[in-house]
Amino acid sequence: MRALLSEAVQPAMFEKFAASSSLTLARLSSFAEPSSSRRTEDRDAVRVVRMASGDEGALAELYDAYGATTYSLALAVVKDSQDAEDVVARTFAQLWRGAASFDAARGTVGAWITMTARSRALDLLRTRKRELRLLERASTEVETGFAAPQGGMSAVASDEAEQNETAELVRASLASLTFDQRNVIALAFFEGLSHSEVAARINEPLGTVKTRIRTGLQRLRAALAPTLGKGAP
Amino acid sequence: MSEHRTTAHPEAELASSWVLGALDAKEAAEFEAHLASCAECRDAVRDVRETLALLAHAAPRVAPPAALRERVLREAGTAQSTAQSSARPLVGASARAPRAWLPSRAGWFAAAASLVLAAALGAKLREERGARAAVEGALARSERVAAERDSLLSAVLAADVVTGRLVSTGVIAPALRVYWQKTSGVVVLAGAAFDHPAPGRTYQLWGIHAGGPPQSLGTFVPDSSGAVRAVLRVPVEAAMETVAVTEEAAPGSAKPTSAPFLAGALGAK
Repeated sequence: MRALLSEAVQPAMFEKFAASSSLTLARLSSFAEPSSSRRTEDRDAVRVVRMASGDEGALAELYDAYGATTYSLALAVVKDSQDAEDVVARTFAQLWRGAASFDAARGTVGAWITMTARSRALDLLRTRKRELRLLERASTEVETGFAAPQGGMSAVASDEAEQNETAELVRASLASLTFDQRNVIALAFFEGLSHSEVAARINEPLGTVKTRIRTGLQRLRAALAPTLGKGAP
Repeated sequence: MSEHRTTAHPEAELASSWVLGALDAKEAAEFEAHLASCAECRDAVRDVRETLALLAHAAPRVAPPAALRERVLREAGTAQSTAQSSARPLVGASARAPRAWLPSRAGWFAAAASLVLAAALGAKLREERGARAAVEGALARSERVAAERDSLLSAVLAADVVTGRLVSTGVIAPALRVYWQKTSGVVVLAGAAFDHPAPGRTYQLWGIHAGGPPQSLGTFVPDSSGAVRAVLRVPVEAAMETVAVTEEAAPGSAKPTSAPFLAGALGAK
């Protein structure tokens, strides 16, 4: 029987990273050159064009670049390694099918992959929660528990150094947000809660939640400006 | 990009919430309609999406299984529809059936059918005076626990759920109820008095449609009290009239390797 999901998920995802990051924001600008992110964007855009003409090698390259990030995100949302694999497979299948209609003006390939994976993961999470509700009705006691992410916790290969570097930058940037801002963003991003659901979860007014998400993301964006290749905000 | 751009008109403030999916249905529809004609908001959406996408890096980094790469390349190449890829097989597709000791598929069906018939006859028998008391006592333990859950389920499940009650002809035997919501493909099992399978073994549920081969619906094991609570998923278009349970080697078998010890017919509630 698959491990059941718990409703009482703590959005503490960001906290340990914010606290333990060894980088300070002052040092960030020396790590990221705007040009490196532009090179990545161009490289990925070419890969999508290649995929549109049926080049499976281009898909493989994109998987090698983004597979671990996508899998980690999916696992954080659905908390089951098999479900996370399904999410990754669906995401890249969707990328493959939609390669010809990919519009670079709407954003980078990396963002497309990540946000698509997030959507598929949240879809699956909702499905599993529906099943859990059905099962809960069938039983007077239900095992709940925070299912720890399964799957290898092995070190990531060295050729993903770029992803690791981005991860460090993101974690350091999150440290510039307040706890409250990180909290609401984590609930909305990793659990897919709506404004009112977030407000209910943390017992705060709806207006407060909306403002916190907005200002939190503004601050995050400013802190990530070097990574986003936008230079000074 | 300075902040004043994001407050140029009220809709611009909604960009981050929309990308997160945090707007309610009405707000989202209004914002999407606005997006069609507003380049500034489309830019804001793009910028928010790029920022949010980086949050994926905040998740604990876990290496995917090596086999996933091959699966991704294989599935993309075969251009599966989303409907296909959503039905994850619950039993490993690579499970190889051990040598079956049943002489034929017909033999297996005969065994299942006779169980179903015996169950129906047994139920009739229990209603008759004299036989009732003796059998009732024996069934009491396995029936009572299942009955509690039965009434709960019957009361709350949707009208489009079909149920089946599986019994065995043994005197003390496991009892199992199957609840199948066709529209969602969700199958809920509620059972009692199951012995725990031997190490390396598991119980497997099979669905049978119009005399075709038994289709695996998934595997399950009881908890320490012998109760079964499991949720399985079947394809939404699945059709079956009979379900049966066998014991198999874990993690399940492509085909049943023994006669079922539980069987029942599915019908409307």
